[in-house]
Amino acid sequence: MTSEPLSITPPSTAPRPAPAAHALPVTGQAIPHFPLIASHFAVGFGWALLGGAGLIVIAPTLAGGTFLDSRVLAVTHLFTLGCLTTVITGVLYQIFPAMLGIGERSRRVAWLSLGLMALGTALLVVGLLLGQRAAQGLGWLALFAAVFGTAWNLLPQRRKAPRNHQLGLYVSYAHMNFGLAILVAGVRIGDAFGWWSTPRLGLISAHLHLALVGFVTLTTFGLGSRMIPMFFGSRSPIPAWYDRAMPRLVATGVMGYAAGTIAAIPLVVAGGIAAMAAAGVLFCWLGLRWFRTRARRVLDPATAFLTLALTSLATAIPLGLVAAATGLRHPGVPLAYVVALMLGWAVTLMLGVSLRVLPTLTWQHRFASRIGRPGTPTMPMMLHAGLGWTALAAASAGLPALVGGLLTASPVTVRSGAVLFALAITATAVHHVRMMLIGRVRPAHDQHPHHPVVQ
Amino acid sequence: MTNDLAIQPDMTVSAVATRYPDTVPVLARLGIDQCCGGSHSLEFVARAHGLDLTTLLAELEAARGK
Repeated sequence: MTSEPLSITPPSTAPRPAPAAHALPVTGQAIPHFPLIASHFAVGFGWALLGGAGLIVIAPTLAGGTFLDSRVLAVTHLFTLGCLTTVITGVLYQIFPAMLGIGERSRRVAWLSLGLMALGTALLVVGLLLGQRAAQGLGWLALFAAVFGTAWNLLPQRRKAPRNHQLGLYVSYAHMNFGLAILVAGVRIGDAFGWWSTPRLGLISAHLHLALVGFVTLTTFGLGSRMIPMFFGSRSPIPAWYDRAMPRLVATGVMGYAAGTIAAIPLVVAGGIAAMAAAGVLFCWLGLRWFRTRARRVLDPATAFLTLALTSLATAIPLGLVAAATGLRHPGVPLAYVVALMLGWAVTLMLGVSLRVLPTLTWQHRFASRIGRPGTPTMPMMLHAGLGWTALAAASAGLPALVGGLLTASPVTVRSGAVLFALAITATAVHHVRMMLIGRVRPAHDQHPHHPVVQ
Repeated sequence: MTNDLAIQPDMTVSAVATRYPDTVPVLARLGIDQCCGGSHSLEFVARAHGLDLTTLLAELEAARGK
């Protein structure tokens, strides 16, 4: 017994009616809006590039086991908020119309939320770097408004969706966790203002897991359970119980962990950790099945990135369990766990998905209407295998160096890993910039004569 | 020429993949998936990917008949 099959609706290139003057933009329609999606990816990649550069700078600090350093916290938020949350939001604006059959409530709110997310991330990062509590507080307000806007724009649509409701369930649970993460962050910022006193480490750990596991990882477990087997060409079915169990397992685990950590109840913490680990093992098991049954026997850069992400997730689980057992006696272990989960799983998955989704969407947006005309590039021409493989090689070498360097407290190894991972992000970003420039740099009639064209 | 075949050029990628799951490996090998372009017809997808439509249909039919 399997979950319901995916069904897809018309592409972003389909013509749509113009909105009436002074009315909200066309709402709820099942047509993904490419500029909105692409802008989320562009902003996300911008933050990822900054995060990669910051990772190189903070490498010695990380290797020394210092994780409460303001620069470490700033770089972490560049990846979690700036990169991952922004890109996930962009993917949701594609997935809701394409897979659930219903779009956002208001496109204007979507753009506004993107702007607030960028503003909030910038204020928070600057506030952390400079120790400016006011900037942190303003950033928190902007982020709260951004997440509220996205939730208002998408979550109610789940109930009206004609299909794939279970994907909306992941998004709802994940946003609930994100809301709690922001709430915990607000409590922490209030502590910094001197309004009250809270357990710092407990709050930070709870906040990190609510955001990274409860929001980012749960969303990727939902969307990834459809995208990864599709990209592998796997025919291994998704068990029907998976969609019922996974959102509840992750949400229960992460909320139990957060509550137990803040209230210092070891048994509740242990239960939360067990639930989160079980969810991770379950997803890895499915990932292994998808990989083994893949039709695409020879991997391309995108599917190789997905394989690397799954491997990193499988690495993060035992690291997390060891970190829970050893606490802060060996700070390199929890740091290696966070790096494996945040960079190895989530950011690497984002790079792989972008290498598959963006070329298709870009081609559809820019060239679908020109199909059949001389000089129109084909969809495979959007890909540059060299850049994709360069990014994959850099990430494949960089992640083990980062994790290994943190475990052995080697600044040189950590910095080498950081440089390589930053290169992976840069090469992927260059790939996408090149893709956007195809057909713009040279006019269509001046294409290279050896490039195949659509006849 | 293709009238007597089950898979027709005007069928969408999603329809083919859903109705004939044995064709999924062929689509995957050619880099065609349902994520962002599943609503396109096979004829459109063949042109988009620079593939010969007759060859694509033949491969899908062969996979379907296995």
